[in-house]
Amino acid sequence: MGNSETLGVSASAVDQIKSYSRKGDPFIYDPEATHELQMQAIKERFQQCRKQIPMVEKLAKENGIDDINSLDDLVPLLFSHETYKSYPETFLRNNQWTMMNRWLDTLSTASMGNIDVSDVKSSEEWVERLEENGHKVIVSGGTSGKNSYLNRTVEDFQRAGHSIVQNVALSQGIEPGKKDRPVIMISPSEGGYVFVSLMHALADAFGRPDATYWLDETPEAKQLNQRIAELRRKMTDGTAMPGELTELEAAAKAKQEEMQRSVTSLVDALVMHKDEPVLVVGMWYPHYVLMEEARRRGVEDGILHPASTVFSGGGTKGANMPDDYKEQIARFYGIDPSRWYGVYGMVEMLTGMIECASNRYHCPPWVKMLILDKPGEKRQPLENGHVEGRMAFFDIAVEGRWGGIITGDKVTVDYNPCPCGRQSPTVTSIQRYSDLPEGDDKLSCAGTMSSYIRGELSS
Amino acid sequence: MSADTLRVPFVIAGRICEDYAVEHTSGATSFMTPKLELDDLVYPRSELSPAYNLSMSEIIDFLVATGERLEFDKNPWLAEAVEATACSNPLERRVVENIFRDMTVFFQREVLEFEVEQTLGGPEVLDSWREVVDFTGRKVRVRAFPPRLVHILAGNSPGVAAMSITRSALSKGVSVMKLAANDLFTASAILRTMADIDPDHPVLRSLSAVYWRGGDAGVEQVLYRPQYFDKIVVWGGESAVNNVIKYLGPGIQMVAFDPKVSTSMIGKEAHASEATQRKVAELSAIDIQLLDQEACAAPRFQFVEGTEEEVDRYCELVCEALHEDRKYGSACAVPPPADVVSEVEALRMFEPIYKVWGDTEGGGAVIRSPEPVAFHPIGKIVNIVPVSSLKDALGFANPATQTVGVWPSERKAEVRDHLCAAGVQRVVALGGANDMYPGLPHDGFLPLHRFMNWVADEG
Repeated sequence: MGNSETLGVSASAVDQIKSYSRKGDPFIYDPEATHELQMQAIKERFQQCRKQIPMVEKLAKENGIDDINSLDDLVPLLFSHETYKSYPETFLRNNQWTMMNRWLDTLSTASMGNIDVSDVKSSEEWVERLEENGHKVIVSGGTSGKNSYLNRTVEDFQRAGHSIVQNVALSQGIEPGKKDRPVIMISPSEGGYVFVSLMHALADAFGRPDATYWLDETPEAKQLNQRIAELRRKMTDGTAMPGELTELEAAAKAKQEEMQRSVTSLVDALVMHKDEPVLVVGMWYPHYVLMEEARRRGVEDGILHPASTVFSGGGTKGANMPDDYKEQIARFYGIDPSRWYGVYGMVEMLTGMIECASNRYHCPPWVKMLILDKPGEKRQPLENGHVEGRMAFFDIAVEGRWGGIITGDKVTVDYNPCPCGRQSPTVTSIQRYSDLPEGDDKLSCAGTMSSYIRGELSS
Repeated sequence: MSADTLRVPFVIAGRICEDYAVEHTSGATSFMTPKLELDDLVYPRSELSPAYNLSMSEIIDFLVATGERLEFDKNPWLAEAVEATACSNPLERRVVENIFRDMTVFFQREVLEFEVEQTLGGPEVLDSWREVVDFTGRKVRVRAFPPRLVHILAGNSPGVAAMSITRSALSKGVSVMKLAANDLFTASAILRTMADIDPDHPVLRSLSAVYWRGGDAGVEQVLYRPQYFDKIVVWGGESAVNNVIKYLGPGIQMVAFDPKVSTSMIGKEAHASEATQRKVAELSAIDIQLLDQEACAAPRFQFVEGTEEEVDRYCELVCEALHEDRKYGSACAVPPPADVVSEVEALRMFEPIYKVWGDTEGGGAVIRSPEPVAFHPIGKIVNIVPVSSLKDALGFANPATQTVGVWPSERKAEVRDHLCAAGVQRVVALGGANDMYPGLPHDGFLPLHRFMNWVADEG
């Protein structure tokens, strides 16, 4: 390995692992040869983080773990994917932002300390205030309706941006920094949502400055989200009046129309640049809305230049789309499947696993996968280099918080070299446990208030 | 089919069917059932129901005879069912057995007669066309006519199956019971016991017990029609209720035992002495631990008057009491789901605003908080909210609230009117949440009365 030379012999294992990102293709590495260095780096991170992150120290104490000598030692120290939304929701409702700071402290390497949040009036403002103070917190909507908040350092933020750009460049054969193509971002350009910050990195690296397009979001749309949250609360405690609900339904309709209007300018951009390679990025639902609006205006399928790139992802919860939305969107863009940038990742992972020509997802060297049994308690044994089970991992590169997490995904991982030529381990199949057909069919009479709330307000 | 695969018999119009042909999976449980033949579940409208011409006293005699044979130590079907249920329901085997042992109560003559008397004003209107003279002097004859029912059973307590069978029998109607995946054996054990007495008894021939996966449109779309059934009786579960709603229309009604939340209100008198506090904590634990808190009547929130020290001491005592084995609950139950565990663990970091006693491993935990937590306490977790007066807790009652246990019981009168105005359906003395006897209102209605088709012969 040439990394210790460039970093100097005293470089920490963590820094050596991180330096892989400076290689042209960080996914080319020998997993066996890298294992020792990865373990050393995880040991280092554990010793640092237990001093800085109260939740890590708590788990270490409860499980009697003082050192990490094998991946098995790491399993009880992994956070659940629920951890980053474990705050009491009443803190948000009651504008108790100092308490939210304290909560985030228990999950962060650096304390929110004395950041003044006395005038903060919404979660958006809270995230902005933390950002002004060097905490690049990201927000993730998740499927439960409750947001997750994950702290990141400025370096984490830059690393995530660098990584997405590097991955898109690698997979699509386009050059970062050249800023040679129109980019169409089907999202408002503001907000702490993780996808938005990645979009900015992509726009900066690839977008022609005179041809970078975003959805424009009116301040009214932002306020509406707060109003929905407020009314849901009033509905739960029984104080919402019918007039308020009527007002809300109307506002939600206006918001949809507003999105359609805003998407119109992106349709213009698509048509204007249809004869040159473009980059189109968005979550599934915005892609769908864009397509609908284009079709309404008579734009025909196959709109994109064949050398264009499309990037999609994210959840589709609550979005009103037909079952074949992916196929419809694919027909609409009309590009070869290889021009769809593919990645497997999640908000807890700073960087994604890139999809290769063999349609597998490659694990970067700074992410150590631990494939567990369904309850997430034990590592599953390898069979001929393959393993199936619950995805858990340790992200060595992340600085702002603990890197260990157990996910809700059922995956198959192949530790044999990939047909694409890279030796790094690959994820070959992904499902969500919650989507699997063997789901629970148990029935009990106990319920929650959420069953009693309908319409726009149901989360 | 492996040797230890559970086999779930069907009962089709009183005939036991053990022709196992289809494998089902629910969560970690797999089981085999016979193939479902929908034609067998429908009783032609051209015929009177099999029990139509029996008198109420004959039906009650048969149910009482069944109850005598349901004595747990002598009944082979119950012995078999208890073992199989313990495999498919998270309750401890001992608790399942206790519920089975107590099931005979539903078959006691005085219980059955009480329900007929309280609900229908006696057997006359079931046994005959009861003549009344209306305000014009005209003679009118009214009958509680036997209905055609589908029962979507909840599986958290085997008592649901027993109660559904006795009520169906009292209605003289025909009933199809859809078994829950967590209680696949109780109904057939009772029906087999009936068959031992008289395999051709009209009551038995009126009853079917089968399984299909909840929400299976292939079954529900076909079956839930006014041509076949009058009412769908559905126990709890938001998804179960929503599945039924899809098929409602003119001629077919829903009788819903809705998914519910229960609470308690504890007066300051509880802190009169250490002994009183212990007694009240004990009564609370009996209610909270009902079916390991899977029951709708089991409280999840308690509103407690008293000083901070008094409430904290009470919390401590409740937590101790939760860690004991009860008739209908275990000292150590199945732990709460991961999202609840994360929230409870996070709250530990917010002392003194929040305080947590106990564990989230199934032993039980008490959370004291300034206002109710936003998540749904489950898995033996109770949220205690200090209030300066019981009246301050009225605002937390809503249409999702079912049972409110009050201590001391004299103070029920002070809160019951406003509780019921808020949507509550049942106010009980603390410790009595489980005593839901047939014949009393349930979820705001008289079940047997609602089951009947009320018909008239006028003039």
